[in-house]
Amino acid sequence: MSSETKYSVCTICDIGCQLRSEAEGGKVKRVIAHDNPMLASNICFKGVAAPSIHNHEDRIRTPLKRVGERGEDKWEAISYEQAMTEIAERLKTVVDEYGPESFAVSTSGWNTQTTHATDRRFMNLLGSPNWISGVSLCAGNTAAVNKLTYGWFPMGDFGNANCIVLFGHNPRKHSWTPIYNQLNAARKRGAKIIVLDPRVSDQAEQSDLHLRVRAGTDAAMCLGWLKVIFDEHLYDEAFVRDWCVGFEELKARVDEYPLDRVEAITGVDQALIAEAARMYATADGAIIPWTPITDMQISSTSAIRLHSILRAVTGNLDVVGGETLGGFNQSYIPESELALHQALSDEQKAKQLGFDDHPAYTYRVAEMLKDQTEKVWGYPYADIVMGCHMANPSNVFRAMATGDPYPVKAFFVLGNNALMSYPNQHQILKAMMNQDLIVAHEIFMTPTAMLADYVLPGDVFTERNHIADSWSWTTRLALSQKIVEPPEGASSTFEFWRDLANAFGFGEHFPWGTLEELLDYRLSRSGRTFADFEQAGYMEMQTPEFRKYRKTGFATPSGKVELSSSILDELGFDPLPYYREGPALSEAYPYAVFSGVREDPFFQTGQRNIAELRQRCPVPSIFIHPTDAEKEALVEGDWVKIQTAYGEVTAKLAVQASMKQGHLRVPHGWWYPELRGKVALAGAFLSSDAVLCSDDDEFLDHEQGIPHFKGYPGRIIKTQKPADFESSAYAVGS
Amino acid sequence: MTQRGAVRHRLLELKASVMVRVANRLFTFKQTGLDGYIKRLMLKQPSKRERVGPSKPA
Repeated sequence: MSSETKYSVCTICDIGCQLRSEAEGGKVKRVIAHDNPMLASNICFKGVAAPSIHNHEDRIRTPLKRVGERGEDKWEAISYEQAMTEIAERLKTVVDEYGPESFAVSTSGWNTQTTHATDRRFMNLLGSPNWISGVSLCAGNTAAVNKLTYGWFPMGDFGNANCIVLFGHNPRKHSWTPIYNQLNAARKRGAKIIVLDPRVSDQAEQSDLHLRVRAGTDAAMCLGWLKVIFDEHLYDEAFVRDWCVGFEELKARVDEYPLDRVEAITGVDQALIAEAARMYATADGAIIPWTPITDMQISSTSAIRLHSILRAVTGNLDVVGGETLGGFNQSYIPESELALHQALSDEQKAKQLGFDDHPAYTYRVAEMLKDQTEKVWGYPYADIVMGCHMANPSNVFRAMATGDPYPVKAFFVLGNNALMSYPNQHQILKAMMNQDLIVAHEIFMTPTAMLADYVLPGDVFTERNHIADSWSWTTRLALSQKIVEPPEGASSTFEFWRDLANAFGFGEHFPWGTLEELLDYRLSRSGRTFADFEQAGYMEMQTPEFRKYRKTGFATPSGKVELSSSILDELGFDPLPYYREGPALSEAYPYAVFSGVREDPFFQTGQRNIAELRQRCPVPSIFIHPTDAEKEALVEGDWVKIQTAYGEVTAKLAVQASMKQGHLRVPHGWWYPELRGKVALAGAFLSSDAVLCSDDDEFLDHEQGIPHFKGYPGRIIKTQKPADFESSAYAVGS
Repeated sequence: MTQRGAVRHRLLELKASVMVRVANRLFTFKQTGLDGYIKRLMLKQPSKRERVGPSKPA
């Protein structure tokens, strides 16, 4: 039997490693390393497991229609055509009764990849602004907040940086693998690594400086660094003078954070704080790469802005070895354009949930930045990492559950286990139970899909052609080739939205018959087709241009780096960064719970049904310091519950000296596919961290409205192994 | 960063641009002419083990 090998961009996680896929007899057989030595080490065991995922017997292969009660997980198989006809009719009914804003979509671009913004395009033509995504907690929100300060979301120049600062970020061989490899390369050539993490992580062990910061206090730490940098004149005075506004106001704010105060907040010795600040500020090229940790804190907007400010005042913005503002790739039409954001009226944009109370990543800010964005970057909407035109998820789920401020009655989820991907899982369940129409587009039957009216099977990266562009975060284009056919009943997200658009009479805006025609369109700016691109090579990068601001200014209202944000000021928020203490610990809930932890074998809520990955981590573990374990009379391997005022999670205990005392770590996204049919929603409420954290205002960042996942109050108690686990092949006997 | 002068900025920027141009040539499939020469020069043939890649979990 003949086999063939093609180039792939892996989508098992969000990092997008370039690999090769081998197929034989119409099936993917192996995923192997790239043949270019520069890319060959970018592979992890999740990518290697792709054939087991893509060929899995439980993969959804036929469109399904609910026949039981919602969530009962009873289905009949129907044709794709019948499914799309009925979905379109039912969506029209909802829109006619409640208006287009009653339609919400939740998706993960990491998983679906080939939407090409056709979801936003359809929604904008229909009139709905209520698109949400997990990127509201992870990179997308960082992109939007970065734009407040200098109008784009930079990418660190790992190859030339001499100092790299990791705020809780812990890339490992099998998690964020390319970043792990870049860190190792930087370390080898002598770059300094500073890690800020409550625990002794893998990266912390190898760091030059490790600051064991108390969880959730990143903003205070950054203010302390600025205090040192300003007091010791370690900033780029010429850049600050010529290209920044609000320096004196910022300096006055920073003076409110002397190092003894910062030490008291963060728990880090002030001499170490000062040493780290000096190391960062005096390096000839330093970066603070994006981190998911700062994305999910009660002072997240301030902390992300403080990263931006540190980059700017130390002269590390848009320079070699610093963090570059790439702009749009000039040869590939970006999703920002494909989305047709200009087609959505101002009136509908103003209805976006979150627009009024938590506007940082909504249309409200996007519209305020529009003119300068067009002037600097050539197009008014810059939706970097999909995160700059979003509704607020908590507001959307509240509206779905209660009808406040208006009803949301149709909810589509694509490649996204929404039930478990946002805070306050209880409210999300209530919201989904209150829907007239739920459509899931998925490859496996997730707890979210179990709540749907229709489940449409999706495709995977070996079954479709694609050119990955990092959603404009970088200017790199990477080839991903189709090597096998998708299941007969499967559709790409592009096909799903195109067919729905045709049913709604938007066909003229969706003129592409195939995904390849859409790729041809996206490449048309460079006079090429997908076939041309595929023939030429597997990757191309735009020649970098540094310090572009000297020609164009920055894409902010002032045209400069806004140390004091005019947009936040106009919106009624504090224009200067600040530190806000998270919810207080108490006698009843004495531990700082740190959730959202990523385990190497899994990406978010996925892959628990993949044996070769699950065997690496059969059950979830809650991590605790030995002293705390002793105090609670707990030992390694005990079954325990973490409880908060909002919910509880059951898992096994892992006692680790690397933990910081007073902290508990909870992994993200656990459910039990093997319990499907035995336990409601396959155990989605047994061990999911999303039940623990509230989305009441007390728990939310003001400007974005994102939750405080890093250090909320909880307690730990011993429990018995849950009876529900008795039928699990993975948890038995333990 | 404050110690980097204008000349050093320019030199580093020039080097970065050249490196991207060279890298782009390495990422094409072309094996002849200058592209092929650059590939042969810069991409040493990996060992057999590296060519196969880590097909099993490490």
